[in-house]
Amino acid sequence: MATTTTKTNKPILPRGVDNRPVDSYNRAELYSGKALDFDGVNDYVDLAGFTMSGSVASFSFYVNADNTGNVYFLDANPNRFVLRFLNNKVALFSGSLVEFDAIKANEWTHLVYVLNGTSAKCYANGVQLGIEQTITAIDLSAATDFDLGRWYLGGAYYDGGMAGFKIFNTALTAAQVADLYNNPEKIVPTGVDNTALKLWLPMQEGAGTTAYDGSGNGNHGTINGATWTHGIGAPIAQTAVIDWNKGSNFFNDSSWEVSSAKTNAFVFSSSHIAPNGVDTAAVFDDGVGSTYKRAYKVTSTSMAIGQITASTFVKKKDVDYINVVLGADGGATKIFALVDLVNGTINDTSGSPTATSIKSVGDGWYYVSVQGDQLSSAQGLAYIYGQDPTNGSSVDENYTGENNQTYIWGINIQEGAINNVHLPTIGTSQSSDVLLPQGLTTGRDITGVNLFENVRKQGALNLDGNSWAEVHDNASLDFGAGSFTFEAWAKYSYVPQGSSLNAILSLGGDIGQGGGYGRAGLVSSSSGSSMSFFYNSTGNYSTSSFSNGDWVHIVGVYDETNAIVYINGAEERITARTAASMTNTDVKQIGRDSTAIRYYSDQIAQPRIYNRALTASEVLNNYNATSSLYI
Amino acid sequence: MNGNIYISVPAADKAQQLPASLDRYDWETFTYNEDGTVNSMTTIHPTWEQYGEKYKHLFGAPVTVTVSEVDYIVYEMEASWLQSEVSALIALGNGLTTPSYTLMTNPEVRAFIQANTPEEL
Repeated sequence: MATTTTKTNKPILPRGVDNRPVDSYNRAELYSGKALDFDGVNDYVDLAGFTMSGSVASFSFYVNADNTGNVYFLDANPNRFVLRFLNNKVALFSGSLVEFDAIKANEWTHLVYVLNGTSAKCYANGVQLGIEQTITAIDLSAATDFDLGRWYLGGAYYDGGMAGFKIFNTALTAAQVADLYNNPEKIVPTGVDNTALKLWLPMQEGAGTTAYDGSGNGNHGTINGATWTHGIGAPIAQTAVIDWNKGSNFFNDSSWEVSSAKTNAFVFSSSHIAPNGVDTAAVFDDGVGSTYKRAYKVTSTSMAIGQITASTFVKKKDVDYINVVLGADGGATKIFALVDLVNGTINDTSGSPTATSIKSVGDGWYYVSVQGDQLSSAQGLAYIYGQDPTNGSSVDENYTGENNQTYIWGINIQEGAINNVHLPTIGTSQSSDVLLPQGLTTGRDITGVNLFENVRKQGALNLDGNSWAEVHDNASLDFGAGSFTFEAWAKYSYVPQGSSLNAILSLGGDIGQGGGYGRAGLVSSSSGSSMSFFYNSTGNYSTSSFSNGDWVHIVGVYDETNAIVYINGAEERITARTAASMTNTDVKQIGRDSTAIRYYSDQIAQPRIYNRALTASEVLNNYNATSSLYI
Repeated sequence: MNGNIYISVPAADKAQQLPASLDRYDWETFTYNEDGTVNSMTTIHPTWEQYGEKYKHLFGAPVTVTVSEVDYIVYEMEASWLQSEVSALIALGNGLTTPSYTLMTNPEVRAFIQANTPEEL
């Protein structure tokens, strides 16, 4: 009978409680690879505008401190409130300084401060740290300064890593603190309502200068100098790793400009909320004048020749139709999309767009994008043009009549042919992707704006090239020189990092190492865009080639004579291999091997290890039984 | 830390511009015609104060320290030896005593700030 020793479609416990032989399967720990690193000189995160009423609160976050001297985690002003180190002990200031106890430097620690009126407790890794202290009850209701990582006037800069910063307006119980620590996949512990979460900065974006607030309250942090660390294994909620949108914001802004001669064509509406539920929408008013009206936005820098995309959010106010326009060549060429704001359709185009799209984002708002060719290196433009309200079928570029109003918000212009997720107007523009975990609002990422893509398949990890899962070594995974089988579904991906291989499943150590050290695994390869089963440093490559994004069922079998690779249920290559011991003491890894050059950057599902060789018919049966989930 | 060097600038000089050769931190501002095309462009060569504000997202906050009752502002930046940018920064301190326009490494600036920043609480 087949022995399935790893089941990642079971709940994954990332907290190292996987050494329980009573369980019928090996649990995997999931590691995020990202955190913010503060340099101890001048780095901080600005949360100006964050306030909270009441004197009951809990502050939960992970730290990995290089310096446990007199540095601050948090400082709020006025009504000074400080979370900090004091002479190598975790401490707090609220009316007076109180200290708890020391924690280890250079080691990830989950810290929770629980404040309940004049009572203050602190927990480290789920256990109370020091004794309960008496403080002046906190008052953050009027805070104007709220900085992470420094004294609010500058100084006492935190030195080290930080991630997963949360603030609750409730006093967590000891059991709830332990619940958060033991189950970091939870955003909110059992017994606490989601509305109690007032701030949640996963600090998992990996790029950019914004630490997004996943609480839904829009208190995004502005990063000043702190840098993103990768591949460090910060123990972060797995929801921040496996559920994410991905996008870049080469240029974005919620504001619009309007030509000086058309000052009536554009106003902000304080009475209408933008689709992120926080900002104020603008109104395009095509009601005055004798020439066509438009609001526009221009990139501040030139964009490269090639595909660019303009996008914005629009919502019906008075009229049924509006034009969303991409100025793809510094204004010389315009590409129109006639948007039907009632039916949520694009009824016509002009100027030969390479692609257009429209997507409902709720409350009557639509996200519209227009993609076209940039013919020369020039600035990109995006426009809103009026449209003859009686003509919903063809673009009327030069309509000059009166047209009334449309809600608009969140313009975005970006390079590239892919319509990336829009990022709202926070932080500075950037060309590299950031990860946007799913927030508390169902179906939205942590920006609160974008529909969550829900691209992750059932039971799959959605790895980003920095995160991975591990299964502890144990006797059930020691095969000696005997037979065994590896199996997994993976979305083909190869990202060069210094190796021709990206690891899907590793029995431990360096997959490429020979000499009988027990190295084996499943990989994607740049060689022929193939998949491969490695056994004792030698690859058995598929004959099939794959494109990024292809779901592939790969099985590697060693039967004490041959190494065999099966792709999508069919044998593709069989090669004689001398038996070597596969027993080792290394952790078994999913999404990487022990090197730092083979991280996997896409989805992996149902990785399995068997202590015998599956037959061809069993492989085919497994493929047929699960293929409908992935293909 | 994104930069490779720190410099302590007398606070009284914060309105002075960066050395001319250090033009990598210049930026451009535009005015636009009615159809969104560029009407004019102006290049800003920043003062120290403008530099600190503009690039704090990248390099972190300018840090004010007080030495012998004189305020200095520490700026982090990226500067090249090969392109003579570091030489231009060094030249600012010619004839002056430390810490006026003094270049520091990361460990040096940590010690400098720690020694000259009051403990708030």
